Amino acid sequence: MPAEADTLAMTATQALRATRCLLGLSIALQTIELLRVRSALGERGVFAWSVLRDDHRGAPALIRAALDFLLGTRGFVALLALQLAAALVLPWSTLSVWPLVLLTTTLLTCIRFRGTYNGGSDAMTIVVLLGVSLAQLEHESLQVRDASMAATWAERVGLGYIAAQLVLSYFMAGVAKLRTRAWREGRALSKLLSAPQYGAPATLVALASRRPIALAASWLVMAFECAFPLTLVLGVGPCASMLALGLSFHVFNAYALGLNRFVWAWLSAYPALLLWSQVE
Amino acid sequence: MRYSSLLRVLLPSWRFFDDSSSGPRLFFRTRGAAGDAFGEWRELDPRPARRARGLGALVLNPRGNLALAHHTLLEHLLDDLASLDPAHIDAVESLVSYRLVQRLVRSHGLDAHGLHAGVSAFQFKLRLESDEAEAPSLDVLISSVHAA
Repeated sequence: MPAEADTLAMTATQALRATRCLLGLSIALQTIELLRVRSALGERGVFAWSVLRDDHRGAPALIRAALDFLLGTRGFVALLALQLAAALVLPWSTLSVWPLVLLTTTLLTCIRFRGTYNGGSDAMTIVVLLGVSLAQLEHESLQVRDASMAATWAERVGLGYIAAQLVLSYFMAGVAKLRTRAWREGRALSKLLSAPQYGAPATLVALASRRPIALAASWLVMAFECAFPLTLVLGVGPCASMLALGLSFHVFNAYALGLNRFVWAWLSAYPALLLWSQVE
Repeated sequence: MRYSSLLRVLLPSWRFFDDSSSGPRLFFRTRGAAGDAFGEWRELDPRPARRARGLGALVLNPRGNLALAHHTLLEHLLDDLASLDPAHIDAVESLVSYRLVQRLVRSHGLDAHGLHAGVSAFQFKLRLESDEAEAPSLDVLISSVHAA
């Protein structure tokens, strides 16, 4: 077997372990956040199940009964407790049952919130969960598993899926902005920062209201996002640099727009891309 | 069920913020006794109490993310209105998204502002703000009168 395959094999195991650790942390934080606002999920809150359940009026009675049990006020808090426990176990276990449990609870949470609770971060969490579930399928059938063993087909496919979706997430976002006139002219960025739902700091809103600054920042964002597929061909060094830029981008967004979940959800996908950037 | 939304989670398009509009905004107004005139429209501020976001919010931001989920409710209502058959527009009040927004106004508009005392009814409206000359701002929905 060529030396580079050995490197890949070793790194696949490490990449999967790093992904599990970051994903577990990401989901644990998401779950704690939901538990902290559980009064909003109860019958006196905005997201009362007695209202939300009407979304499923057309479903078979058995499914409606199951959803009532799992997504009603008490059931949902229990589901979140299970999710938190599974997230904390995930970094330490190579059993595929844990990512599958988390995939189920995350999807049920999305169903409760009529799609997503937090948009793109939920979507990336599901992408990484799908990839890890797949990557760990073959793990369980191996009696002995250490870092020196070749990457299994499941690891290649699972981590490859995460890496591909990560690249797509930046590239598609960049292309979509590039096609929007308001982004090309810098107007969209200042409008985004001044949208009341994000509560961006006043200094940033004032900065972005200056046309040259908004224009330069918009083009920087679009250039970074559109150039992201280069991470797959430039090798591990440039890929790591792009990922560092990406992390800075998400941390800035968390500060400016309050999108903290994106930091952890995207970070959990980075080891997979770092692995694939080494494939010649 | 918004199955299309769930499908978008499983097959994401990754098109973030490509829409340059700031999205729908929610306003509400109240009146005292029956027969009184309604007060002025006021915007329901979706944000948690304004505080500088510290490093802690990078890790946990439960109130901020709840506020974003509230804003998503407005987008759901907007989508549901667009797909509602004009012949059955009176069905708007049975929409799940309408009822959730009504609860949002009640809890974050009336309760949060301590407006329940002396208020007998409220109304809300969904407004699309625009700074484009060719697409002026528009009230897309004005609710019926609801008991407080």
